[in-house]
Amino acid sequence: MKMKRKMIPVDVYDIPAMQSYLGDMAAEGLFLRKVGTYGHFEEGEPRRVLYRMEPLMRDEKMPREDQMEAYKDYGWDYVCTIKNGFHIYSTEEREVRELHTDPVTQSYAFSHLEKKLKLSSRVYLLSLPIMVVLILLPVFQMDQPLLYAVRYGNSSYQVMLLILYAFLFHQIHASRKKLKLLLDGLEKGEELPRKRTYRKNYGPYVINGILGLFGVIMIINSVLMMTRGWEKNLAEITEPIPMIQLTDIEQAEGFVKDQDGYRNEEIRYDWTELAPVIYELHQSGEVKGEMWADGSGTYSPYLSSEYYEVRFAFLGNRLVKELMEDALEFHRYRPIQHQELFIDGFDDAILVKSEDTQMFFGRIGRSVLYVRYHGYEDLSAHLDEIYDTLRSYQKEKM
Amino acid sequence: MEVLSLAKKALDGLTESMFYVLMAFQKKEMCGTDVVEFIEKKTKRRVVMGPGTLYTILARFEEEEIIEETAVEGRKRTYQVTLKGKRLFQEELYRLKKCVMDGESEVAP
Repeated sequence: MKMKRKMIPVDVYDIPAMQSYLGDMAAEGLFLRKVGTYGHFEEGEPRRVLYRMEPLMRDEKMPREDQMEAYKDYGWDYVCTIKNGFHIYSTEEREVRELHTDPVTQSYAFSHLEKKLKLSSRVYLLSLPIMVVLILLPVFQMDQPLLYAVRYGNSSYQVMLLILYAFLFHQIHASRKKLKLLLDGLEKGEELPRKRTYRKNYGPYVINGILGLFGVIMIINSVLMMTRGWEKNLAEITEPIPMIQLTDIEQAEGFVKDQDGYRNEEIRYDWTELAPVIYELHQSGEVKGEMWADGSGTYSPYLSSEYYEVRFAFLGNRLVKELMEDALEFHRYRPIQHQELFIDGFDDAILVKSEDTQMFFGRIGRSVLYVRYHGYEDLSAHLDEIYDTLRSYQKEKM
Repeated sequence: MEVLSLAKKALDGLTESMFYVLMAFQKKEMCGTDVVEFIEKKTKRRVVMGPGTLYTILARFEEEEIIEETAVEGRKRTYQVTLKGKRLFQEELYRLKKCVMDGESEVAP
């Protein structure tokens, strides 16, 4: 017999609706055989079949044999079990004898299930704020959450965890409400409605699909973050990079680039979901025979550059601000000169001076650049070069 | 009384179905089919019990330790009443007798 897998568009805890749905499927020639995430139906000749759902009274994968036999003698065949929920029975008899003759007794079986859902619902309800706090607190505590997300790429994990949690809570709560309504009726001695008109709702599958998509994004993210990043010595790079170099600023004779030192002359490329292109470069050098004005040693200028190409344009301006906040944190006890520049071509351009350190924060569209120079040359005299380098990099990439 | 908490929802006592199932176990051990036969015979089919009702009561009684399983032979499961079950039956019987007496005392001669 041919089997067909179908999404179940009804909440399984809405028993009258679920029973009606299964009957309607049988009338279309689809007979339930198994319920998991999907319903598994066997194809056959359309016929009238009635279904009844019996809440599980104990943890079991199928009914006990004596019970199954008693139900069969009464005209009801065991179909399948919904894990932790119901045993499902069906009958094709014309003269149907109902399985339950006492609504109050039937309510005990339902109260068993309702208690389980109530407990789960409470656990979720109590842990939801804890989860929200645990997930979002680091974000709120961070002074520069966007910069953190752009640099370390973890935003989709957090979003997914929250959606998953909120969705599970909503689902359990909604199911419990439906079950409670039935339970209240039974306790008053009202018989359980056998049928109910229902509206097909594929919402849970859609949400599950979105969560699945997030899961895939998460895996792709992790793979890309692990595989796409690299670190190379500047000398090995042949492709254009969106940064000027220390030699473009330090023109003095006798200037020698420092080849040693931690991450010196090393260019790092990275990928995160919010910034698919990240470059970082550190350079230093010294001018032989020239000393720092305070006599602290040989004049040794330093240049570091960070380039971020953010995925969404609206993040660009925020990133510039957060980069600036992060950079200025280090100079908070020193005098700072802050100058907002209006340079053709730049959407944002800010120059900051603090003693011998000059910082430039610039943005063209989705491209954000942060340059930090420590030395005696005037960084503002090189803004055109910075712009040209950025532009030619962007053109080359296009 | 702990055991009576079970019955509180149903008219402050056991439901009729529950009362007859408990009655069935008072004199001997029984399996599900025996219980149905006992009730039908005792009530001359006035009380007819669906298997859903019967097995819900058996599961609940077992959970509340009102009855206990004594043997499993093939598909047949046999149960016997516990001390707690006997006490519950006596209490319910007494309550019902009082109800009947109260009712009868109000019947016009």
